[in-house]
Amino acid sequence: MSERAVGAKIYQFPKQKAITSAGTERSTVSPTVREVPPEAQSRSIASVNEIYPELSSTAPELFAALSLLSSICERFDESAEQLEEGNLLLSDDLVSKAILDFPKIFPLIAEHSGPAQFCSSAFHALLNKRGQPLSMEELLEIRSALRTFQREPFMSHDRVLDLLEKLDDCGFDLTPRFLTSVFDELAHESFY
Amino acid sequence: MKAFIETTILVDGLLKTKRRRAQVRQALSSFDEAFLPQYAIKEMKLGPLHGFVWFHNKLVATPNLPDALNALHGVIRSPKKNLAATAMEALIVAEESIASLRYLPESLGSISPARRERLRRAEMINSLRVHILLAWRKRRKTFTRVVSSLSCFVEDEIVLKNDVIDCGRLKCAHQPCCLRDEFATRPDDLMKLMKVCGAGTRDEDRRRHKALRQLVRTPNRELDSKLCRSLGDAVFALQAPGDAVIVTTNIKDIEPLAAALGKSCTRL
Repeated sequence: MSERAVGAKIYQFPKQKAITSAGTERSTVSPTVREVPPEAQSRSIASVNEIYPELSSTAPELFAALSLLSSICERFDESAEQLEEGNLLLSDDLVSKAILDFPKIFPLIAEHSGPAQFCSSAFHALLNKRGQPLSMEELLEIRSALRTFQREPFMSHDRVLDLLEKLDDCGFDLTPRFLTSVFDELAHESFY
Repeated sequence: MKAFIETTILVDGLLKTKRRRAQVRQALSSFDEAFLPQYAIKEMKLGPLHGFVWFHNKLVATPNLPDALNALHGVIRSPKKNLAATAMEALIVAEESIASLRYLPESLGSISPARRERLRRAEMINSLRVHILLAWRKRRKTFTRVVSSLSCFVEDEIVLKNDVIDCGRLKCAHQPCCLRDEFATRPDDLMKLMKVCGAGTRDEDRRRHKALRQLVRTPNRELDSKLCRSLGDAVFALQAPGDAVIVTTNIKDIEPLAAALGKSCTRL
């Protein structure tokens, strides 16, 4: 997917407005944004329709999930803009709405390991903030991960882990809260 | 001051909750350097990480959540076994699941309980996968550097193959055991540790005593993987540099061994 995406045109989902390249977004958000990798800046983003022209008919659920993902990305774009303008409530409200969009996607992609891993981890990363507004750094990190995933929905497991590792390093907790007691039990020395 | 990381800290720093992981990193920041002996990676891979992998693969292989949770309940040896069981039962109705009725959109609200359980199972499998693979990725990134390399232990990558996780080789790749060659030349230190273990009454102490005794009495005899594992905490006491502090959560076991060799340790 990634190879085919290189040099492709602007990413455009049906009924969605055009999404600019990561480099362009960067200039509109904040001067303190983390550097976007050069390859991401130079690479144009292709439409899923262009790259996988058969996707809407052969994998309609995945196609629908990617369309929903596009709207989540837009929420994060707007949330970052609002935060930069000092509209904390508006910015946070858009994140709250985005959180509720993930469960709409998950049932559509639960059988696809990579996308499901990314979707549920991103959902819990946001949920585990326990209602605390995201900082600009967190907002941009998760938006960057979502954008990358949107560009490469069939990325390898390693690439998915790359994205999730960045979220983890940024301070997000990717583990569902209801699993922490079991994880603690498994990590307990009496287990082995 | 240098920190010499024992397995329990590695496990807490990579496999426990985000909060605990952050606590470990914060606490270690007070040291100038944090050295991780490769034996700790080996112990983590053979122990807790393998437990996570086992549960992941169990979830993949069993048709429903209760079966997998029953299997987990069967192998947990914690004294708080009943609490663990209660926690596991709570998973079935977890409200914070992405597949719970609380979050499922109205359009999907009518999906069957069986479908919801499948979604929750998928969520758990994926979460375990991420947890395991990220922990393994970060094993060599979390501390200043890995020291005391084990030439006979090959850190096979942990990989996902056909939906199950494969840990690769868990035992040492070849004999002779490099720890035998490293420790057999230090009979005085081994004798001191034998004295400490000899005073213990637990199976763990007896196994460690047996491994140490073999190293003292028959230093040229092969140290098999079982005995290598039995050395356990003694390895950290023996390998820790004199100017380092052994950092552990298991101070009760480590302290007498470290003290016997004139080394210091601290609990995190």
